Order: sequence, then C-alpha cells, then structure tokens
Amino acid sequence: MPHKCLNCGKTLEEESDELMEGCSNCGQKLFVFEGDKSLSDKDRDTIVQDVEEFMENLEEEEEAKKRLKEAMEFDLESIKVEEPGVYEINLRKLLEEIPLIVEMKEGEYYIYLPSAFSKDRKNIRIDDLV
Amino acid sequence: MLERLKKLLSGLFGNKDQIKLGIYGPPNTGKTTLANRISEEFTGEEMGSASEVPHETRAVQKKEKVDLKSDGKEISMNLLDMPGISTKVDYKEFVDHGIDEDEAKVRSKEATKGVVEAIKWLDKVDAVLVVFDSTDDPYTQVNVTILGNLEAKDIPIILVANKTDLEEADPESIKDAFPQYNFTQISAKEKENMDDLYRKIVENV
Repeated sequence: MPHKCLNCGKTLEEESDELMEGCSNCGQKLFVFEGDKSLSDKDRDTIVQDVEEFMENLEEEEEAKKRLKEAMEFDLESIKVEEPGVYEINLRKLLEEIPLIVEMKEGEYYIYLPSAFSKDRKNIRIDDLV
Repeated sequence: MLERLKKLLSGLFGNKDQIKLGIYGPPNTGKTTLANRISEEFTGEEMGSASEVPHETRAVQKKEKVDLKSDGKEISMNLLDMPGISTKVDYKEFVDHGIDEDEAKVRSKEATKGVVEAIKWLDKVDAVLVVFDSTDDPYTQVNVTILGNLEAKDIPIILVANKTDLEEADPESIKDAFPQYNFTQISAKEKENMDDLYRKIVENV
C-alpha cells in the first residue's frame, strides 16, 4: 500500500519515484507509509509535528557543532596583546610548535612566519609585531 | 626517529660530554640565584644578576664548560639559565617595583619574548632542573604544563624546591604534588643542601 504526502495529503503509488524526487503536487519530501488503513487528519498533524521537531533538533545540533568548530578554529593565538605592555601567553600553543601567532586585538592576528620555518631561530622579534 | 639519530650522531662526533642543563621554572623562584651558586662553585664566576623584580632574566644566560663534581663523579655541562615562564606578563607588575611606565612596557615585551625563547630551548636541552619557590602553591598551570611537556619529550628532570630558608617554606608540598620525579630541597641563597642537588645531578643527568 502506498505512501501519503505529509504536506498535501496526496497518495502516491507504490514504489513511486516521487518518494525520492518529492511530491509532484507540492514538492515536499516528507511522506508517511499508510499501510492498509488510511491516516486521519489528526494522526497526520501529530506526525508532521513530530517530524518538524526532529528536524529542528537536528538543525540546532548542527548549529552547535558548527559553532564549536568555529570556536576551535579561532583558538589560535599563542600570545594575546591585551594592551601595550600586557601580554597573555598560551603555553600549550607555544609548546605545540605551531607558528607564533599574536592576537593584537579582538580578531586581528599576526602570524610570525620565521617561527613556522625555523625551530632553531633563537631571536624571536616580537618587535616586528607590536 | 630522525631527531634521535641526529642526537646520536652528534653525540658520537660532537662534544658529547657537554650536557646542556636548562634551569626552568616560573619567574622569581630563584633560578638565577641557583645558576650563580652552581657556576660560582665550579667555575669561580657568577652568571647573571638576580633580583626581586620578576622577569629579571629576559634572555637565556649561558655558562659553558661547568665541570660539576660530586662523590668522585664528574660531568661537564653547559648551564642555561632560562627566563621565567609565565602565562601573563603585565607591565604594571614592574611599575609596582618602582620602574617607570615606559621602561616597564619594554621589560614586559622582553619578558614575553623570553618566555618564547625559553620554550624554544626545550628542544635543545639534555636535562632540566625545574625550580620551585617552596612558599608557593606548586599546582599551577605553568608547572603542570612544563613538567608534562618535559616528560613527553623524555628529558630527565630534577625538581628543586628552592627558598627553604624562608619560614613559610613548604617543600614537602612540591614533593607530594609531583611524586614521580627526582626531588631535592635547597636554599640557593643560603647555600643549604647544595651537595644533595649536585649528587642528584651527577646521578640523574
């Protein structure tokens, strides 16, 4: 027995391509398998609500993951210049042997390239950056 | 692997007897005073000037060919007094010690540079003394990070609880905090228990 479009209620034929491509009537891609008994309007509304909630949660989770990823990507600076003469040093970052990255002010980063290419370079010139 | 091979080769063909001993720790724990004691004892000369103002040492100080003797054993070292490692350098700290603002800001920049330099040297030292102020809480981000990193690099470490001459000193708290490492307690300033430190250096370095 067929599927029914959750949006407009159109009944699809068995194994219809519309299941994959979307309802030919309204374009939606949410269908419910009806089995032998037809779906009452009330049941349909409940299912639509459940699916919408599920989709919303999924979107929120995706958003949260994206935000976390962004936060991690921007955890870059090995030295933060809070104001002239006040420096916050991220030891963990410095120890990871990444290039020396100085955050001059919110969102403004300077990457000290020689520190990326030469581990032996003794004379880091922070003066170049500040 | 390549690094190890390089080390092995430089050990075979280079001056393998010169062990690079780095003195690490937070600012104001007495690293320079300790370096001066060791250097004075075995070379007759001091290394640098110690001060109550934090970050007095802002560039790596080196003393080559320090031949340390203890219990009939002798090792030849390059002694490296490192700038103090901290997570924040604020020029106001220097202003509080009577240094004028402009100079304090320059010092602050130099001290930050010193932290970077000290960390870069971690790749080159053969052994490390980690110096603690016995009157301070040992569980700090700096201490935990440095010790963890040295351990990961497989560098021999001796913990040195300094300033035991002070009344409020609690060297045991350092031993308890990091029980897995070689440990000694000294007063570099008063030259207390230095023989034990020398013994531990020749035994473990």
